[in-house]
Amino acid sequence: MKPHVPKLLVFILLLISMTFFSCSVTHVYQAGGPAGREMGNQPGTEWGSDRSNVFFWGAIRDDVRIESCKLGDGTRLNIEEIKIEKNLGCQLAGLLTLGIWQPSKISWRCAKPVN
Amino acid sequence: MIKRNGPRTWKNIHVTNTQSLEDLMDVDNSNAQRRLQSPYDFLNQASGDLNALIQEAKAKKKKLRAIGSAWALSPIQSTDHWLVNTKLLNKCFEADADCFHPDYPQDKRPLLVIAQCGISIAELNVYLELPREAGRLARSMKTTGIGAGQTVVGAVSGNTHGAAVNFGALPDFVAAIQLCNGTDKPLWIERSDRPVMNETFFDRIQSKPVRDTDIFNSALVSFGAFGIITAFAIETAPLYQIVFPVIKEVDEPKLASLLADPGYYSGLYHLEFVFNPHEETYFLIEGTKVNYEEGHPIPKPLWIVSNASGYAPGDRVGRLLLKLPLVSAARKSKIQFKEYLKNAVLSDVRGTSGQLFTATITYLEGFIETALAVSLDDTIATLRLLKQATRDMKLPIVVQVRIVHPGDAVFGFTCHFPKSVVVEFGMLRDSDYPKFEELILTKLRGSGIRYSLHWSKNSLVDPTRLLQMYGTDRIETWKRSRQTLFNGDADLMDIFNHRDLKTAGLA
Repeated sequence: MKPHVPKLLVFILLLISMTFFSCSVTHVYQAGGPAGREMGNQPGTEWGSDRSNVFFWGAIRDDVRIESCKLGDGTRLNIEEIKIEKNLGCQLAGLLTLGIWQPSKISWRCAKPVN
Repeated sequence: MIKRNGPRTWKNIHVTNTQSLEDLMDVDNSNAQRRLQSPYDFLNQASGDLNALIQEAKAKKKKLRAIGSAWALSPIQSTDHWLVNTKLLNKCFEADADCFHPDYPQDKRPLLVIAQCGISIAELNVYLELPREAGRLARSMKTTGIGAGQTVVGAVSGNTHGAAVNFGALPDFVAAIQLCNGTDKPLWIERSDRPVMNETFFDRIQSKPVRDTDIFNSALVSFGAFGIITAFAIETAPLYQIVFPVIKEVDEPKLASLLADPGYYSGLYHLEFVFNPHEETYFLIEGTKVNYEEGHPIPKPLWIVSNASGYAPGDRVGRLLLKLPLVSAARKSKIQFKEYLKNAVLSDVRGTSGQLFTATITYLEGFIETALAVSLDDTIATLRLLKQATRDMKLPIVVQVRIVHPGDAVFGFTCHFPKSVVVEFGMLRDSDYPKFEELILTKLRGSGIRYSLHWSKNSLVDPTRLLQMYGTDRIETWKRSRQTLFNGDADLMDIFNHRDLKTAGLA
C-alpha cells in the first residue's frame, strides 16, 4: 500500500497547484482605437472562465464555448479580451503525462456595445 | 434588461480584492419586447430596472452594489451579495433644447451631455472629441485621471482627481445626478443655486427633482452609499489640447519656490511631479491648455508595457523583481523610476485629453497603491517625511504628486486650500504595505499635517480619521443628506451599507 501514498500526495499537490498558483499567462486583446487613439481594453462584463483539457497531443480537443457574451435580449457582444493561464499544476500535468493531458484555464471578458 | 449570472468568485481589475458573490448581474440597454427609440427610453428602462432590483434586494434582505469598471483598489465597491455590472449602460446624448431650466446659461447648453453610468472615460472622450453627427460640437472633458478605463460615475464617486491645478477633480464637472435608491421614483439631483434642467426633462426621464446644494455635494462623492447613480449631466469644454514640454528636473529648494508662487501655476492646466524617494531631485510635468489645432502627431500612448512584437513582462514579474534579495531598495527604485519616466510620463507632447490620458493597463498582480491629499502649503514637509519613511523601511517605490484645485464635494478628498496636493505611491502588496501606510499617516498626524485619504484606494478611514479629515459639520451634512434621500428608510439604506462605510462610522 505504501507506494500509493506518494502518488496520492502528488495528485493532491497537483490539484492544489492547478487551483491556486498561476504560472504562465497569455493575454489576447484588441489594440488601437478610432482616429489612432489607444482605447486599451474596454470590457463590458466581468471575467468569465472555463477549463480546457486537451488529450493525446491534440487528438482530442476541449473547446471553450462562450455563451455569456450577450445582452439580456440575446444580442451577441464581441469578445474584448482572452487570457490563457497554465499554472504549475497544468505545466506538471503536461510534463508528467508527456503531453497526453494538457490542461489550461481560459478566461474572457466581453466587449461593450457600440454607443 | 437584467441578466443574472449566478454565484461566482469575483476579482477587481487590479486583483487587490477577491470574493465570493451570491450573484453577479449585468444590466444593459437591450429590450426583448420593443425597440427603444429615444435616449430618454434608455434612461427610463435602466432606472426602472435598477429601482426594481433595489426593491427586490430590500424584500430579500440583500446587499447590492454597482461596480462600474471595478477599478477601485480598496474593497469599497464590492459586496458578497449582489454585484451589479453597469458597464453595458453606456449611452450618451444631448438633452433637447426644451429641457433646460431658463437660468442655465445659453452658451453652456451645447456643452452639456447626459452620460449613462457605464460609459468609460475613454468612451466619453471618443463621443465628445470625435462627433459623428453633423452639427454636434467637438468637445473635451474638463479633466480626467491618467486612466481611461474607469466608468465616469465610478471615477467621480470615489473622487478620482487628475491634475487640473486650476479646475478641480472629476466631481467638479458634474452638473446633475440621476440616482436610483429604491424609493418610489428615480431622483434627479441638482444644486439649488445652479439649476440645469426643467419639468419637461423630469417628465421625460420619469424622475423626481431634488434641488439642494448640500445633498448634491454629498451625493457626488458617496461611493455607492446613496444608491446607484444611473446618469450624470456633465459639463464639458470646447475641444482643446494640452501642451507638455520636456519634463524638468529640479531640486527641493527650486520645487518649494515654484509651489509657493501662485504666478507659477496660475497659467498651467495640468501640474504634477514624480520622484524616486531614494534620490534628491523631482521631475516636473507641466501642461498648458491651448486651442485645438489639426496636424499634430497623435501622442504615443503611455503605460503600454508590451513591445511591437507583443513581448511584455509577465503578470507576476514585477513582484518577483522587487522581491529580489541582495539588490538594495534604492537600486530597485532607480530601475523602476527609469522605466516609469520612459513609459508613463507626458513629455514633449501635444494632444487632446482623449489622446493623452489613455491608460487602461491593469496593475501587475501583487501591487497596490495609496493616495492621500494634503494642502499645497504642507507639500515639502510631506515629501520629506515620505522620503524618510521610505528609506527607513528600505522600500522600492516611485512617488507621483498631482496638484488639484479644491472642490465642493462634502467628502471630496481633494478639499485642501489653496490647492490639494495628491501624493500617490504604488508598492508591493505584502506585509510591509499596511505598516508603511500606517507609518506615513502616524508621521503626518505627529507633524500636525492635515491629510485626507482617497476613498477608492485606501481602507483606513475610521471615525477618528474621518473627523480629522472632514470635521463634524461635513460628516453631519453627508449623513443627513443620505437620510433625506432614502426618506429615512433604514432597510433601504442597509442595502448599500458596506464594510468601509461601517468602519468609517457612517453606517
